[in-house]
Amino acid sequence: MSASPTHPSEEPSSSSRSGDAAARLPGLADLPTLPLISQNQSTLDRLCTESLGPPSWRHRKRIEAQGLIALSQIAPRLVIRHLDLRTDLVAIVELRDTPVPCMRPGQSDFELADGALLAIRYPEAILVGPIPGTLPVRVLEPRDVFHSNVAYGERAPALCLGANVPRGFPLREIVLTAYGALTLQAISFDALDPAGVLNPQAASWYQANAARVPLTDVPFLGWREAASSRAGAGQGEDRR
Amino acid sequence: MPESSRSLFEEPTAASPVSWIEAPAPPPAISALIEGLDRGARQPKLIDGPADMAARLSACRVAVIGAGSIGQRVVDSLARVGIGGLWICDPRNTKPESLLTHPISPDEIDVPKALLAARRARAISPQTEVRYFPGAFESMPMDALVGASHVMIATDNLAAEVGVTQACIRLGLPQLQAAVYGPALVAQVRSLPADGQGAGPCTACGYLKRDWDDLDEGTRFSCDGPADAVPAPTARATMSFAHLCAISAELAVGELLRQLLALNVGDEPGVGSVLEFCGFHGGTTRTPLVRNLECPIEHQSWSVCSVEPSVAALTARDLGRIAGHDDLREVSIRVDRYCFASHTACGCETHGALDRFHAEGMPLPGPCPRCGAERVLHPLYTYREVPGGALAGQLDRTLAELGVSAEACVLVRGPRGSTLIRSAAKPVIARIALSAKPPLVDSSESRQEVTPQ
Repeated sequence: MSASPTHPSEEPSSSSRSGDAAARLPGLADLPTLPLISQNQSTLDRLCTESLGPPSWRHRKRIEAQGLIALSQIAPRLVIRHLDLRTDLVAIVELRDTPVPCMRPGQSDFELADGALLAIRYPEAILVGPIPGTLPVRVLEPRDVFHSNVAYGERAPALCLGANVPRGFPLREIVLTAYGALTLQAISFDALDPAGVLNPQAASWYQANAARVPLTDVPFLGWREAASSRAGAGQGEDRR
Repeated sequence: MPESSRSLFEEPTAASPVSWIEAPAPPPAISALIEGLDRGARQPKLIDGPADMAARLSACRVAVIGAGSIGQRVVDSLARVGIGGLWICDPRNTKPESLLTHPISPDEIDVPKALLAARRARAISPQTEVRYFPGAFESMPMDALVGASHVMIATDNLAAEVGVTQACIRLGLPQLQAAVYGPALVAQVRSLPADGQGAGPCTACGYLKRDWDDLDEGTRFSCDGPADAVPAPTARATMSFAHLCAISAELAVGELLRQLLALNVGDEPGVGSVLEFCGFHGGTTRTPLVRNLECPIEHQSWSVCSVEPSVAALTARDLGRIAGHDDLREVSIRVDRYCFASHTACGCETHGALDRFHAEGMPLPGPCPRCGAERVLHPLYTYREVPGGALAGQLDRTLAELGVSAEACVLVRGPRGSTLIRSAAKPVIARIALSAKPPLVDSSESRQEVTPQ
């Protein structure tokens, strides 16, 4: 029904990482050909036996799931908590070491959560056309995210990725885009943006505090040790 | 800011209609003018034409998607030949620029195009069953085209075009697509027959990379809109002379009549074609169309069943049986405009069980009885298309008991094909079904009912 793929560091046979291990790791360009570790491969194979829908959609789900698992193998910050290929492809992923701005009611400045738990839905409709930018990603944790593209105060709010998510946009790219959005590396603060913003108050706040963004300039495949939080120094607090 | 009660798969919540509307009757004074008109007074006796021409025409129900510079004219012409039914869909209103290409007068500006076309068709041909839908085709129910015999695609909105052609393939409906390319003075009509399997070409089979890029770039959703909203119509307008639009429309009507009246001499059965008129040299060419195996559209037809009294009276097990699947673990079930939620999220550590179908766009009833917080559908446990395995424990409860209303239609997909199951007593569309006296389960309703004899 569902499964949680394993990170290579959790597999006994995988080599341990040292501080400069990033240099030896494959990059994003290697993902399509990156072999999955045996446990992940068998998990994926089992999930695919439960996959429903037309052959083309089942095939696509396998490719997207493989890409996501491969990404999790090379990205220390990405942990797949759950994967379901039965109808829509649904993944619950954890982004570790990812600064996420949160603001409790009544506060005037944001705090940084140290990661996020996201529910990602990859629907069959993306095969034939763009889907709404608010459809694929929901933020399960942390709560009270203070972000121009996240509706404030909702439970499991959507993270808007833009005016649309293009046809065939890969699942792993959705994860990368979500990371860029949550850390304010790539996001719109323009309340007059035709696509709109989900939290105009946050958009105005960040426009007035432009020096606080991005929250980190560490790329997705970057290491925890290299993380430098520009805005949240001294404010980082794991609120999950 | 959106309300916190918004669901994961919210549909547009505007007070717009959700399906076809009967066209208004013309004023009595207008009706009186044409009362007693002989509808065959101007119809030619065709060489080797069918003897039952009028019957064939009155048995035909054409859905016209797009009622702009081409679609309005298609509707007009089909009403004048006494077509049996016209279903007209267009989300937009006329605007001043519409005067330049549409067959409208200045006093018809800022009127829903679908309504305008429907009103005129009804006035021209009162016996024609005319319906309209002043919204986006993508927001219509899955069974919106069930009962139509042909579909005329006359929209310049690529997202709508893809949606319509997909629906036609699924429901086994022959399609005609009328379009113009202004700079080259080209009017073209694609004829895409239905082969019952979905193996023939669709409009998207001819798309180039540029078209798919246009689809991506031209499809915009509002960030604060519903998660599953239909896209805002693109601002791109048809750039053409009015006469070219008229030529395209009349060529399309001509192609439809060729099919209806079996005048398509020389056409290879089941093979599509594109008929092109070029305004520079004034000639036409016809080219065969074949399916593009790279086309991302699902080229597979559904079976269509009508049940009495309603789908909501059936259990999931019944649905599987009707669709020919005894093992529900190998099927998925989609109830149109509903999602199935097994759990909700609130302030509690553990997620509360729901195990119901939930109407999209509706808030969940009441707060969590334990923590008092407002509940939302949990993204992980909410399915628009629910795997049969997720319904375990609910297999013998009727859909009504699980929260589904009587008008809903259901799609069951499994390894042996897909089946659309709908209520025979559904408003508006039911009138067509009643004429065919469907049995409890009629697995080939759409194709058998509408094919002209």
